[in-house]
Amino acid sequence: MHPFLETLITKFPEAVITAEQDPARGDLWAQVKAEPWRDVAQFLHDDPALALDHITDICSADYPDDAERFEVIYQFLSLPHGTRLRIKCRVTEESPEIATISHIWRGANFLEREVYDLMGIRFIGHPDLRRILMPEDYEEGHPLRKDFPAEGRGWRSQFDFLPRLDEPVGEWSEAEVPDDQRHQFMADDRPGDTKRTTEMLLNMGPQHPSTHGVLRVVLELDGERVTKAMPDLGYLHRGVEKLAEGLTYMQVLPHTDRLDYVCAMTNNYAYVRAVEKLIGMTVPERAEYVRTIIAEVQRIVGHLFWLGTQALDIGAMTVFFWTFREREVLLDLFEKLCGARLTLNYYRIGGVDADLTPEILATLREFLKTFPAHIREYDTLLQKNRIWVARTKGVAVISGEDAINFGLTGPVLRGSGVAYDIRKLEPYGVYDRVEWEVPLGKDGDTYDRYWVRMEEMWQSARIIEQCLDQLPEGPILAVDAQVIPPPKPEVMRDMQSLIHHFIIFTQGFKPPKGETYCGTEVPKGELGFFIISDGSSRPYRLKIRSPSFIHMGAFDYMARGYLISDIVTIFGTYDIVMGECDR
Amino acid sequence: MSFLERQLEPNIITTNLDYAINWCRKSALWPMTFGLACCAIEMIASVSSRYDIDRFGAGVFRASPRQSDLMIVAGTVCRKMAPVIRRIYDQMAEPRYVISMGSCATSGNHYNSYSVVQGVDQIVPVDVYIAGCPPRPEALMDGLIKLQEKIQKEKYFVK
Repeated sequence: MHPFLETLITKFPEAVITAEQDPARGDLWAQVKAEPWRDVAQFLHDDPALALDHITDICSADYPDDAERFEVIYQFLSLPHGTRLRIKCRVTEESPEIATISHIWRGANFLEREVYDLMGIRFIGHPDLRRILMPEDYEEGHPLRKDFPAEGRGWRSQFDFLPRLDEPVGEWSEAEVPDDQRHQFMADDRPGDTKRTTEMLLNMGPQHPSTHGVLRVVLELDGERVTKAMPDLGYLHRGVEKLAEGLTYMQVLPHTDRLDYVCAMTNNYAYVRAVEKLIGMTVPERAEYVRTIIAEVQRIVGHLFWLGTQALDIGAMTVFFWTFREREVLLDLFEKLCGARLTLNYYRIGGVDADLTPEILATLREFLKTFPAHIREYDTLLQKNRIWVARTKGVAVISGEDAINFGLTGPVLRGSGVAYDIRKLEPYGVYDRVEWEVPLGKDGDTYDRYWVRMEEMWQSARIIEQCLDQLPEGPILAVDAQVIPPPKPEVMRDMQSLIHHFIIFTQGFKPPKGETYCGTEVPKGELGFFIISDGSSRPYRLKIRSPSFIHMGAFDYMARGYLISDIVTIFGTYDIVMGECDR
Repeated sequence: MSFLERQLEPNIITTNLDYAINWCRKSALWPMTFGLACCAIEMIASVSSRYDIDRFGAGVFRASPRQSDLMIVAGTVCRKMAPVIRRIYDQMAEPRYVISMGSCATSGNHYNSYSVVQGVDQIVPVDVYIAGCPPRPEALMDGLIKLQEKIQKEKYFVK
């Protein structure tokens, strides 16, 4: 038995119901009773043998036929040991309550609110248990429950929360934040200042040019200083997790494009990797190389977009035009590859859709030749620019321990000097066959995160270059008649292939019963997919661990004490994309 | 013909008031920066270096609804966002126009779910629909030209 599970069972023989290592996929998981959960969680965090310091995700599942209907699923990661552990707790329908862990891992705060919102499980002791993705006046119930229809319960045809179009426009809304709801946006631990008479609440968003989509933040201000910043999410909550339950595994793929729409293909990659892990499929070597190349190109595209928009937010217009110039070159390449500019649907379960043509390879090599000069160009604009340095150095500082405690990942975590990169920790693709480094920041401020992302672009270019040199010949799609649609020419000629094609496209393939979590390093951080399969052709539950959502959990902590204008910088430094944040 | 008259003649155009006003309106549409989702990225791309929507007089993106006459609804309209969109529309000064950019804003796209409004035309009147997921910047410009044609045909003084 794995030492992690042994430690857990020895300490809590009564609380642990089962503890196993999944033989096929290697996932560690334990079923724990809900009553002693608070103590178990504290132990998981504090014990040096486990040291599960990073909260990856909290998810819930609904089993209407079971005596204990709801299951809360926690994903933890131990950064010192590099091991993941999944804890599951069951609660009943009559009292769907479980102890909060938001005092141990602060990142759990938002995750628990999400579970409460979508599944209706209450977390005892949670400081601020409100809906987070759906509006607070939403009265139709908790959408992810199995008895809740995916189309909702009728508001879409009534719109009784809006004034009618044929009526004259009146004062149909009062203040931005009604007086009786103000308390939730106010800080509890206000510094005692006798001169102050009242706090000012400032509403920012959801319609605001710098919020990178539709994000609302309610700021409590003391003069120009922020004393509390409360993000209000869900303005782009599209219900992908619920919709996925009604789709076959292949049909979910287009939905993943539109999560983080700036870097669509890395999302595809994360999803197909999770499904491949679930069904235990290996991918041909050439496909692995192609995937790695394209994922890194997409990373460059994502970082270019981030650099342009963050600089634009801070006031540097030129950078935006320059980065978009290079971005368009790569988008042209994507267009040659798969015919789309933005919502690219190129990765397939078992490989990729089309092979890299010599023309694309030549374009890519040409791009790599000129790209370093372009990065230096951006550096000349920003690196020593006094305004840029003044607006980023020492802004939104977060220490490594705090960043881990909040569950941050990606460049935001690495900017604080924590060397956590899934490409190194659990290498996938061909990341273990090429030479590259994980750039790390020192101070954990916005400037360091900027530096980390700039370095990552260099590293991505390095990875692509080596992959192009090593690129082997061979197939780009695995062969598995039960899972992967056969090639079209065969379908047209061969009866057997036609039958497989028909079954895969009408019913979908059926993975074995089980569940798995698979995290992938996307430009924003760790994008994880947790899939529960009941053996049918549709996922029983698909949970998306989105980095942007978890980063927003640390927003209040990172924004306190800074100026209003720095709020814009903090949005940018997360590289937030609301499609992924709200799902 | 005097010298002055000869100078003026090539500089005078006779037209009607409707035409002149419509021409002014269509040539300086100020859109609002109102990106909701993926389509917003293509909207940004159409403003940036390669596409440059300013060529059609619609490049002055304003952050405030009070200063803009065109709302480009670029992205999925969700339950939580619907009241906000409606309020922003009400805040815009007339004449105001709405472009529904992309399948999500037009019909909800494949998000047939509990939190997505199935088309922004259920909450605000739409002038031009643009198909695509997301529409390319060229498509947005085409939609803009369509809207300009529509504005040019409007009648205020001669019914």
